[in-house]
Amino acid sequence: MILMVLSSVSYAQKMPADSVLQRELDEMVITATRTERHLSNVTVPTLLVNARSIQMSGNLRLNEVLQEQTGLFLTSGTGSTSVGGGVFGNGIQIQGMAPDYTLIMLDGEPLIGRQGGIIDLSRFTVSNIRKIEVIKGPSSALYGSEAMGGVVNIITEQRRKNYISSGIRYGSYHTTDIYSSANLDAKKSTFYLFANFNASEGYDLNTGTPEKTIDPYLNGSAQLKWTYRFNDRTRLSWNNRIYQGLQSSYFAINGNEINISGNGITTDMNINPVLTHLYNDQLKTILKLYTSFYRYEQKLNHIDTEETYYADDFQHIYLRAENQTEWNWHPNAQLIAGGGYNLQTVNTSRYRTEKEEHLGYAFVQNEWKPGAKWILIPGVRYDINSAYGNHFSPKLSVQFKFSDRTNLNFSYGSGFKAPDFRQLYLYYINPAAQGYRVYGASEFSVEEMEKHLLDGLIIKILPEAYLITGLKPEVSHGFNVGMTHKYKSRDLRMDFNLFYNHINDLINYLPVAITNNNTLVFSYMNVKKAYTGGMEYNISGSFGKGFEWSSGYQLLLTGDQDVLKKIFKNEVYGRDEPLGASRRMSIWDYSGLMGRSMHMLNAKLNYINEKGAYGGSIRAIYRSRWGVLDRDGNGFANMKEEYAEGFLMVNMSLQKKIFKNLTLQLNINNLLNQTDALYVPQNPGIHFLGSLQWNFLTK
Amino acid sequence: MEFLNQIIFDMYLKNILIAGLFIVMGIGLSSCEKDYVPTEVKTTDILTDVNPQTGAYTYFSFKNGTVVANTEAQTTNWDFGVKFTTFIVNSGISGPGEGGVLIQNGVFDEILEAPETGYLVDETGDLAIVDGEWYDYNPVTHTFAPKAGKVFIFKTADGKYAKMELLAATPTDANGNTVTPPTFPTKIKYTLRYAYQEGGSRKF
Repeated sequence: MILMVLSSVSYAQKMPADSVLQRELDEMVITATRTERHLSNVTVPTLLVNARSIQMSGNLRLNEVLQEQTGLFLTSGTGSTSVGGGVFGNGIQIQGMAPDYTLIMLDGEPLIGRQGGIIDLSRFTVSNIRKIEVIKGPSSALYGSEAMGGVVNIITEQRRKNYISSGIRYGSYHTTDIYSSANLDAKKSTFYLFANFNASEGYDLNTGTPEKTIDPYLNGSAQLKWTYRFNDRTRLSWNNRIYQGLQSSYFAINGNEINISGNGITTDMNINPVLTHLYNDQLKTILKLYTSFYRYEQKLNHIDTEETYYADDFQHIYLRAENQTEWNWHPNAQLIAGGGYNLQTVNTSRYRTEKEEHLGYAFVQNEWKPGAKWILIPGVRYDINSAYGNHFSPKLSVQFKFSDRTNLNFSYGSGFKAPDFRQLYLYYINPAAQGYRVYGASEFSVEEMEKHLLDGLIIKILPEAYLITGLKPEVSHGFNVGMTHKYKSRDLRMDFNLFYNHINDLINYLPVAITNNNTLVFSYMNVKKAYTGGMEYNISGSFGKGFEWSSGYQLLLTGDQDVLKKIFKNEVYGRDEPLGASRRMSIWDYSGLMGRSMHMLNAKLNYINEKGAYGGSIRAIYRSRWGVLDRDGNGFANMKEEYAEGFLMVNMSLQKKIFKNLTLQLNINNLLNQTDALYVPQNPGIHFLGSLQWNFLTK
Repeated sequence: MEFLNQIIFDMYLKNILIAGLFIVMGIGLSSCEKDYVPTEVKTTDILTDVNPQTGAYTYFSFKNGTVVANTEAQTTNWDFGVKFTTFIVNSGISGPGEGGVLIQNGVFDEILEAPETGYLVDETGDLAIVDGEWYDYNPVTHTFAPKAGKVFIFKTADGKYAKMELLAATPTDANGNTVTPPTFPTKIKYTLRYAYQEGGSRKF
């Protein structure tokens, strides 16, 4: 259950030669319980990726790092050329739950800026990351909405050291990445400064189309983290981050000539002051004020006439105040309680007016160790939201230390996802000829439709229209049962986990009326039920002098209960080929939810020589086929043409220390040159990257 | 069991018909089946406009198995018309014919007899074929796919019967060549599979 790919909190470059393999077997993680805990005492499935394995992989962006981890399935949107700000980017699925249901946090604070439900993970450089913690399974009892499939917490650098570090990388498609960081540690203050620039001219996987698969982009980010220690017990940390990215778009409409061009500009800012005070050994309190701003502006023009083809401006502001208090009320028990208030506003041309949402919440968790062998953690959270009402999320997790080397874990968690702004407030009329309409559930009213029935705009109201009410949150119940085991040889360890998530009240769009153009009006409703379940294992070890290996596998089975019921009633039909005749589908034809691979497998091998002077890594990732299209309207993939093909990707990196503080690295990614322009546009063919990294330490 | 009987009965009929029509006539097997003619399952493509405002209907005749010119809109030479996703039948407000249609959930090949009643006609504000009933629209990719297992059973303009299944709706340019987003299609190519009972019987 607990996966450690490679562990060591320090960079390879600064480590004494003989300690390269010295694992800190029990690293600290914070995301599972909101407070620092040894990994071996964590009761929920937790994955940890540390700076050293990120550095050795040579990966530049967060999506590249996460897609190499067990069970994290990177899914992209509809590609860079799709109209309507469709650069949905790359998000990850956790335990088969879509990226919309994954909470992404930066230093413990939620990130905003979802396009089509997805936070594009390529927005984040990994050069300033100390570690990434991933909690699998519902965690809404701690974090509220969105923490349904799991939580990704990106923890950035800051150490009690003085150092300067810088790197420059250049490779295929003129990919350029430059970063610099400085950490200055004084008696009372610690500063961390970081800046990154990243650009690429994109690439073309399908020369048959006039468009490139990925158009040129460039982006920059900067971070300032300041910690001030008033005394031993009071500390203020101030974390600022800004990101700005420009993605160009060039595409052809009605022909084979590029005739539309434009840019999408993403701005993302966070300000995050945190005051921590330790009253005594028993009582600690943390006050956090968090502000986040996200803006996406897209403007596309006809190249010849310079007339606007499409324009969109989406702005999202997120403000939050939160307190968390930790009280060790008994030698074997710790209570964590907290609460907060959150205000969000969204402004876009796709809504009728600016929309805002207020949220108040409180949570409590008690960690209790009844005896040396048991850990018991119950917890609850209560959310009061202006848009959808109240929601209650419980959790319970248990660990039993079977022996010194074996832990058994069980956890139950409830997850929810609040109806998002789009599902509530969208007011969209397609400007193209079809003129279909999509209304968010709060914008839709039967009365308005009946009025339009009289003025002739609407010719028919469908029965579903009368069922549209306020949306409820989508809710899941997740169960995990697992085991972690360290073999006698301290380098060999394995974990195993079974998971099952039952999801209710999934929100889906459905037709509610017909316009006088005979096109449809859509709105949103809580209609679907689904489940995701499966098994995951990870195993890792080391051999020889400096070799480390790991392997992980996830089996995933998913389904939609309504479709299954209909299949059992013999009411589901499908085609075996695109132009084939329909036939009745049996349970054996059912492949579950779209966009899920049944099998995911990875294997990694790292080597660093004894003196730490040279090394390398080779990583293989396999994904079996996944459903992408529904060509026969039955809601699932059943014919070959409805699937994207599975693929095997192999990435390699080699590094050598050329001077005392200078490391040269060469990456060859996608060695097997596996590409799929349509369904895996984020993977270019075989590509190279060379980098030079300089680290200078004074303390 | 009725269903199985139906198959056996039908096969029996077919065999007899193949053996020789004179025997059928000789033993006078079916006074009610006297208009039965073996049907043939055909597949064809038709192109239709995507623009619901400026576009024109494409009219189709089961008897000829072809598209009929728009100039014949006011005749009974066509059975159904389609423009983008809107289907009309030669009946009611749409044409002078005595047509009608109903959509049955099932497997095309298993539907051996058209129902006697239940055919809907086009009325003002209430077309016989409801938009959205037979396809799935994806507002994210702007594509739509005919649902499998939706069998259209038509009463033709001159009162005969036909069954039809839509196999695909492909976005194309004006010449019927497939286009993919973001290129906007000017036509939709429907691939249809149908059987037409020219004899007037309800059996296929």
